[in-house]
Amino acid sequence: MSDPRAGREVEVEVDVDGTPEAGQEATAEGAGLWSEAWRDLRRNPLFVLPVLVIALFTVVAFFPQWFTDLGPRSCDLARSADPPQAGHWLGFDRQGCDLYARTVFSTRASLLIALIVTVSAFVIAVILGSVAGYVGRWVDTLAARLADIVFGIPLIVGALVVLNVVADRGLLQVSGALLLFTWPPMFRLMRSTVLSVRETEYVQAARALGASNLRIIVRHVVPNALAPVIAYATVLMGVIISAEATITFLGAGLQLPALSWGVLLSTPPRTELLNTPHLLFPAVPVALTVLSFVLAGDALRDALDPKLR
Amino acid sequence: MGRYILRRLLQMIPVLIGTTFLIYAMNFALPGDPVAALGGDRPLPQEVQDQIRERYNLDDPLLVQYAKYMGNVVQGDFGESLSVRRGQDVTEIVADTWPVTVRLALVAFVFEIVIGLAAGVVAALRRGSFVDNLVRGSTILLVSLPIFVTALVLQVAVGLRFDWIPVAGTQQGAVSYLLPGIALASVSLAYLARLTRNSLMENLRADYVRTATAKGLPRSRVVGRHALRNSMIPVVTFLAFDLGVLLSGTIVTEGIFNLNGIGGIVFDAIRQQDGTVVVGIVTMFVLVYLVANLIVDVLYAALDPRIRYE
Amino acid sequence: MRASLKSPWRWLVLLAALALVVAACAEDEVDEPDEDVDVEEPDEPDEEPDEEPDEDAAEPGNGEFAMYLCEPEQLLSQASNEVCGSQVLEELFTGLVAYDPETSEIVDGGMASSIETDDQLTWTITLEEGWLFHNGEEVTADNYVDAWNWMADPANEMDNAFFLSTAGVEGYDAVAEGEADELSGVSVVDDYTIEVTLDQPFGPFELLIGYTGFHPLPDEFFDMDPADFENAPIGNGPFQIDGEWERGQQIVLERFDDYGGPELARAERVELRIYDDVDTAYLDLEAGELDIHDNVSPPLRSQAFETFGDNAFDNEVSTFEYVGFPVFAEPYDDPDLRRAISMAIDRQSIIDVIFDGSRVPASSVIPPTLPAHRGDACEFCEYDPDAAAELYEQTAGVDEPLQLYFNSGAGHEEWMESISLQLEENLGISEVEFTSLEFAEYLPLLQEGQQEGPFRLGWVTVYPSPQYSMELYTSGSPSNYTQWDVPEFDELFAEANTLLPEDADPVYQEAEDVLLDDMPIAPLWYSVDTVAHSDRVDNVIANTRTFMEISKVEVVD
Repeated sequence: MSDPRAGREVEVEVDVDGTPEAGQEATAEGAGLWSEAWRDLRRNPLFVLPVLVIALFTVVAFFPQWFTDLGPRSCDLARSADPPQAGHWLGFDRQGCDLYARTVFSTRASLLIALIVTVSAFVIAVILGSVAGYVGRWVDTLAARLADIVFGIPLIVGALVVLNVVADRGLLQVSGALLLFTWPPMFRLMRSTVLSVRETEYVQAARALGASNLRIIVRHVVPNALAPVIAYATVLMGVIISAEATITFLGAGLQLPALSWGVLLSTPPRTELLNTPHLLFPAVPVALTVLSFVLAGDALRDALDPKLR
Repeated sequence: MGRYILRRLLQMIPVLIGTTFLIYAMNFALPGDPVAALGGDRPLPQEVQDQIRERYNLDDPLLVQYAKYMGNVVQGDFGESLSVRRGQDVTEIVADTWPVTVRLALVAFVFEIVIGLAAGVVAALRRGSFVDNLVRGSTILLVSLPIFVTALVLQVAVGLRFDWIPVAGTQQGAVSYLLPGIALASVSLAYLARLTRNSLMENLRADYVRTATAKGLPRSRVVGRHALRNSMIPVVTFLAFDLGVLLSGTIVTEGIFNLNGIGGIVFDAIRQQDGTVVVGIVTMFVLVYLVANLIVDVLYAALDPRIRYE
Repeated sequence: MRASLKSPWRWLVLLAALALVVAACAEDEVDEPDEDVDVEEPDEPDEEPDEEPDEDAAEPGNGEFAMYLCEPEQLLSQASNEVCGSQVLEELFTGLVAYDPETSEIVDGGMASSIETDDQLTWTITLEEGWLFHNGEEVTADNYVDAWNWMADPANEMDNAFFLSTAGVEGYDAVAEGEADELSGVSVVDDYTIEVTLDQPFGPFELLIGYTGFHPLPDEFFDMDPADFENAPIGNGPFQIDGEWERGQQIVLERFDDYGGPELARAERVELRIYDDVDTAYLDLEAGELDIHDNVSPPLRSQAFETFGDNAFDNEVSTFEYVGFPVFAEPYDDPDLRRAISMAIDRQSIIDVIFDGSRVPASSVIPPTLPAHRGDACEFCEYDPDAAAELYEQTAGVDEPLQLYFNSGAGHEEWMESISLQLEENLGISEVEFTSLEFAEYLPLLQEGQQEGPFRLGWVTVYPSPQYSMELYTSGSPSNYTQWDVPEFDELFAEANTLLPEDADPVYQEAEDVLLDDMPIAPLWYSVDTVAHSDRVDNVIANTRTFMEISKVEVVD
């Protein structure tokens, strides 16, 4: 639900503050921008800390067994919803499984979905956005209208409708449904940045020298327009983690016995949640990862925005 | 100006048609047989099923179905619910349920505006202070919590603790909207505060503010009349966009807090593949979003004298 | 436009004010229960024309009370297939037969004075005279026959037409296919006599016609838009509707003093308050705003017993849940595999933990609400992990991952997860996958036989005959998603169907034995509704068909 907002926020600042000039400066020194940004970021705790957190979760996702001796399915109904205790410091879920072990083993699915959606949306946005922005004319009109149409449909509603009829809701199906409704903001961002880059002097120069469109797009336009899109993509990772949890909470996401943070939060009946609030714990890693991605994305955006330098 | 509005209204039509078609196609072209499920565990007699399919045009090809549907819509007939409230007109269902949803959305919107704006403005004016850091910290935390988590936490932490704040339902009147309103507004509120802060800070740095201050205008006047006004443009854009987000957020909030509004109906309709209801209500959401955006663009003219529409 | 928007704050303030107004309106709309309803002169019922009231029947009292209700989908007997609407319709209408609330057997109280048959093929139903609809019309044979013909017409899209075909009423198919306007097998002999001819002998017919779908309709109905009728149904039951169905709010019933049944309703007025949420209703019950709540949610069950003591009780109902096996495909064609799976499920612990005790383990398919029920009918429903593992060893075993199917959004995830964990533990299955779909897609999947593993389904015995509990396992039934096809079962079942209930039960039990030995399904549990009520009311009785007997409730103070 928080989805397109993040996009809008970035976009607002690009569009409304008259950022067209911002892109122009960026193009002047493509590589310089990145190395300068990196120098800033290295020293910014609001970037370094989130990145460390993300790195930690990535390790958990790949090697969950390093973090717990218990399997995700060593459960005993007799310990159902038992509160935290020695050796089981998050307590047990309703099936009598160790909640910490379940949470650890849920990490992979939650992060993977976010990664699949973000990378795909990024690819779509970069290709479609640069073609639409650079070529213009009917290609642009068509792509922009399509984005308008999809953008109008709220993410939750759209994803629910699609996933509602999918029988085997695995990683790919859930990612696909989320992707369908999350690419427009990034596409718009890419397109508007390309529009401004297109008018820069050296792209004009390249064109005058007779470079082909494709070459100009690939060599000059895309690299110079990428910065804000990458920053947005980082934020999108967080947005998707949150959206996956929500979709699953509404009963249309991953399904047991597959595990994700959303699955853990969605299975206990709500009245039971009120009695045994420790079952809400899996919300903590959700918040932590989302927070990290949003912070890292913000830091990236600031570092890559020449206007703020 | 009139011309501009007219042009924008005309531009809305293809977007609206595209959106309704997309939603319609997703509902009717995807597998599943809502009619078969009507009887629950016990199937309806085949003849009854056939009759229902015919009345809802479910046997026609997608495009024909859609054309018939739009034909009726143009005449103000949004069709009948197939399963959620079988036989009831979609318009009637909306009439039944919108008060709850509008109240919820408005309460959320008020929270968002009052708290979000105030926090953003204060943080911007006291940049780097404790308040600023508090606002930045708490908003980033709110952004990170999905609405359903915030809602559940509010129920546990507040609803269960205070007798006068209901955990769920609308039986207790206006207070019932307090927790759902806060939960629904939480993420938006945080974004708005951050946006307001950034936007205002940028304007405070702008040349015209320096000029005005240099000319000896009192700071309150500079901030209130000029900086604030100019920094409202992105804020207002965001708010218009956010109205649509709030509406779709009611799907989550109404479920958790047991409010009987449009969000709950559209959720049930999606689950039961009650296409006419889904299409009707989602179209309405989209329309709200489009109109809100139009109003904002018109407001730009009011807020920013530099913008003129032809 | 600009002039009015000089300051951006102004419209924000406006908006805030508007929101407050709206919120305030919300407050006004909350319906306070009418505290001071005029209590009319104690209106002693006129002398009843036909029947002397039973000696021990309480005198009709004067009080009123409030009861929980879930929002009905319809208020039309011929359409209603859910409990919320049926609960109301059961009070607004009285059908041909009445059932004992505990044993489900036919008792006095229905409109039929006699139901006779020699061959279970032709049935003669004689009505009591002098029954009135709430609008004063007399109830005659025509009101039943017209209602059934109207229900049979597919143009009216009535769900309960299903039962005309279940009974095999002669001529139903012709009406359903549009070849005839009326059921040829149903005729009005005189004002108080109906004759029904069936396609084949059907013993449970007399049990069936007490079902909600067979209620009569007044003449007035046929001149109205059914939707208008639903706003204020006109019935022949112990209560009439006061005002209209206030959707989402309440339905108010008041005693019908000209009721034709043996006993008038004991309370004068009942407010059926509609709640979206059973737990909100429970809070109101605790606060004294509500007198009866017949659907206390499982998590609050033990609290209800603590708080209400003797005023809380469990009502076993016929709602039955099971997992079916795709016996048409390997490896589920092996009965031993099916038995092993059934024995590996620890029903009682799942009930205790996941359902908070609100189920009873099933060891039969004929529900405990019927006289034919036997608690020990099922050998392989007993939890026995060792025997299960041993038996499983001898089979080919399931293809892994084991696929489990259920309909989504209905809270089945949790117990399915418990079952999958138990199967892993007890049978050594190492991988399980769930497939969950909304009903609209789940049923077609089962119909097409695409299930590759055990699948969850439920069944409610809506009229009290084992025929209805078991019909779905016959080879020809559209609800037989296991595609189980055992002639011995079909034959026994068919034989039982031709017999009158008292003769039929042993034969149904024989059929049940065949079924439970071969196990095309593994029975899981029957539901229990938890009822709690305030001290203000007494004689609160829940019947086996999940309904509260509202007309018997007495107000004490």
